[in-house]
Amino acid sequence: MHEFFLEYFIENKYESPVRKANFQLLVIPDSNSQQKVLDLKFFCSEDQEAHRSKNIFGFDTLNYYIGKPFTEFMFKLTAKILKEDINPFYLSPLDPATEFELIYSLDFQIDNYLFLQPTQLTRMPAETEIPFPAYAGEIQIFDYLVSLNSFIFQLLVYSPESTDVNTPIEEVLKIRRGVCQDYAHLFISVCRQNKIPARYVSGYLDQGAGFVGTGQLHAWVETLIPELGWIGFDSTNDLLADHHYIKIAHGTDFTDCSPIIGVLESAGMQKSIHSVTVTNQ
Amino acid sequence: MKQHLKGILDSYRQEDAHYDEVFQTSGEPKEHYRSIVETFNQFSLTDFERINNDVKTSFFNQGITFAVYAEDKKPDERIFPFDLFPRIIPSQEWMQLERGVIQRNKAINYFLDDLYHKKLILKDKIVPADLIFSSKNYLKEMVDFKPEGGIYTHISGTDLIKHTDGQYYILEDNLRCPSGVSYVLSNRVALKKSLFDLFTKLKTKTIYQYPEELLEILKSVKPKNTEVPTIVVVTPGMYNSAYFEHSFLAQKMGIPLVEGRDLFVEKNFVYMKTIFGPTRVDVIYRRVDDEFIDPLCFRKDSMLGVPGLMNAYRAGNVTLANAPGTGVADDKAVYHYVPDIIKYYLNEEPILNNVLTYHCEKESECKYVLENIDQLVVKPVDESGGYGITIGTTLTREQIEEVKVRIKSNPRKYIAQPIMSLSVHATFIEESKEFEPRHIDLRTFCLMGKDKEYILKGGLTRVALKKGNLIVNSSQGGGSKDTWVLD
Repeated sequence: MHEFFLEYFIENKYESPVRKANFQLLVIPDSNSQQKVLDLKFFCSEDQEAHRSKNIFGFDTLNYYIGKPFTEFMFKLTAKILKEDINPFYLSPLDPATEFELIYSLDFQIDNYLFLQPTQLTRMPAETEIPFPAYAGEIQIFDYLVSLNSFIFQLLVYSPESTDVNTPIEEVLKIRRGVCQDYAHLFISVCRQNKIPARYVSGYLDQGAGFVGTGQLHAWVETLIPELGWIGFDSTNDLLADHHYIKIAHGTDFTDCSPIIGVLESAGMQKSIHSVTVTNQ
Repeated sequence: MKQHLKGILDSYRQEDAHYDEVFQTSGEPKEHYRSIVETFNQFSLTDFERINNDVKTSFFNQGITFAVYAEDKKPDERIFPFDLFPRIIPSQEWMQLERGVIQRNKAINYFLDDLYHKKLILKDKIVPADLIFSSKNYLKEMVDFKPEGGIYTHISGTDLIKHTDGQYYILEDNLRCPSGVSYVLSNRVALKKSLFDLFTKLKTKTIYQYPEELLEILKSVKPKNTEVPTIVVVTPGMYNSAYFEHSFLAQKMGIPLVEGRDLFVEKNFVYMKTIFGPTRVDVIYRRVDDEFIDPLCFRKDSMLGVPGLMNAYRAGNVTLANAPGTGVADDKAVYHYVPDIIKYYLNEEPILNNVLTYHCEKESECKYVLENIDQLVVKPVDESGGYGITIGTTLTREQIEEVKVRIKSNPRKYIAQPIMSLSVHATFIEESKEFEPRHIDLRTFCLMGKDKEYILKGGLTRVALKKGNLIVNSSQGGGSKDTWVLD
């Protein structure tokens, strides 16, 4: 068992008063068989009670409706997380040909269609000269994904602020730079092209481990391998998701996992600061 | 070409190529049109023009107008042209039509439920899975969510035409809050006033209960744990082309007409701002498109929606009519499969015919379409209001090439159909001061609620006022007629 403490903090300052606003935060760590959430605390500067509601994938969002003018919105969440020990080594009982057949069966594709369809952020350009590894059923899916993970890790240079949350894959492939979202979107894109269901995961990463992508929320990918279930791959670090990875939510791409969405009635500019800390004590 | 005897319908010239709703080939009016032709023939032209002008003034005074959009232009506000000569449907013919429309809409509702849950029709390969998953109207937000009562299409508008063979064909399904019913009700008021004697003599079925029935349907799908539901109509606002209809229906139902900004969501419940403070809203008849209803969920830049509405909806705290995501079933590419959809869910033969449809996504069919484009109607699958439709016989050689390029660049987006010959109906043409045959279609209105359904007896008969024109949409210069279903 591993114990982590985490803190998520965001502060938005507005040039002119916001008349009313809705905020939806997707930052509460998920509770599942691999992680338990203890001592969850959160509050916002407007002294509003948050409403917890499930999003379409069943993850808890926090919703604030602020009906009176304000110029600052601050939100803070703290939690203690217990993580199961995860040994990220998987061996499928199925031979490559059986896996291939399963993956290509109509029922499997229909049941997992959401994670097989390209989205705007995961659409591969029609032509690319990059020789992405292709899955043809000669090796096990897991082995294929491990090689794809390394391929993408080597393809891109991690470079903060080189892209934003709306950068399409086409652009990322042009500049060969990106942040964790871009690695995740690219990984998803290649998986889906090869008919392997893949979903975007947002979460916290233990900063003590010295990984790339700390100090903010991290992104990685879960892929569905028959008989093994959803397995996490982090191509930003060329690793498999283990106990250092604290999941918040998954979705088809970043847009399903935005940590904060706001709909504001306001005119001016805003300044935003946010920070994430994860400590292992 | 045949001439008729005395009266203002004397000069009416039949066109042999089309099915005439009013006259037999002998020149005699059909049985169900006999009294009206006789009545009209007693009017002098001056009488008739006077009645016609009275009706126009009445529409103008009531503000029964709509807006037409064109690229780079301000919307143009127009009176919806109305023709005094009603379309008459005999009782037997109507029964068949009514059964067919209800059958179709029931099947479509099962289809939507299946698409958003078990997806059996896709697994059984009746409808191609790719066709559904590639549709932008298939919403992941609706997956595994069951709307109250299992109803998706509370209000649907099924468009029909009558072909030269005298048979009705379904032209398209409209499942995203179709417009037009306010014109049906206003047309009836106007016509009944001006042709009162005839109206009572013919025993026409009434349509006045529509708003009441609509209200009942909306009540029937109120969220659980609601005693007396608060129901509202949500409009995008006064600049919307159908704003007249939104306000008309709200007024007739006696419920508030609101805009998105009049509502807010707090703790997953929807509230309406009133001078007495917030009031909880339980059922929303929304006339705002899916992608605009909730900026937290769909388009972030939408000013028309209510942030958090989808969460409240998914929590079962409010009902939306129609359900979001119904557009996947009125996609013109899905239309082709509706007869199979009816057989699959109801185990019945379709009562109403579909028009033969070529699907450009299929290579062989696309090839046929490209080779025969001059003989086909080409339609984009995801547009409504007649926008983007091309009719092969009216195209120049250059235009044909343009259409080909468009299809090739995105075959999924286009379907093609043989040019159906819409039936014609005698229609008073102001320029010639004569009755002339004009093409018509029929939009029916079908309501579905929890254990109840209602179909408006008749519907909106749309008429293409331009000579030879086949597109009847109001945005393309169409008008309307009152539709009388006989007892």
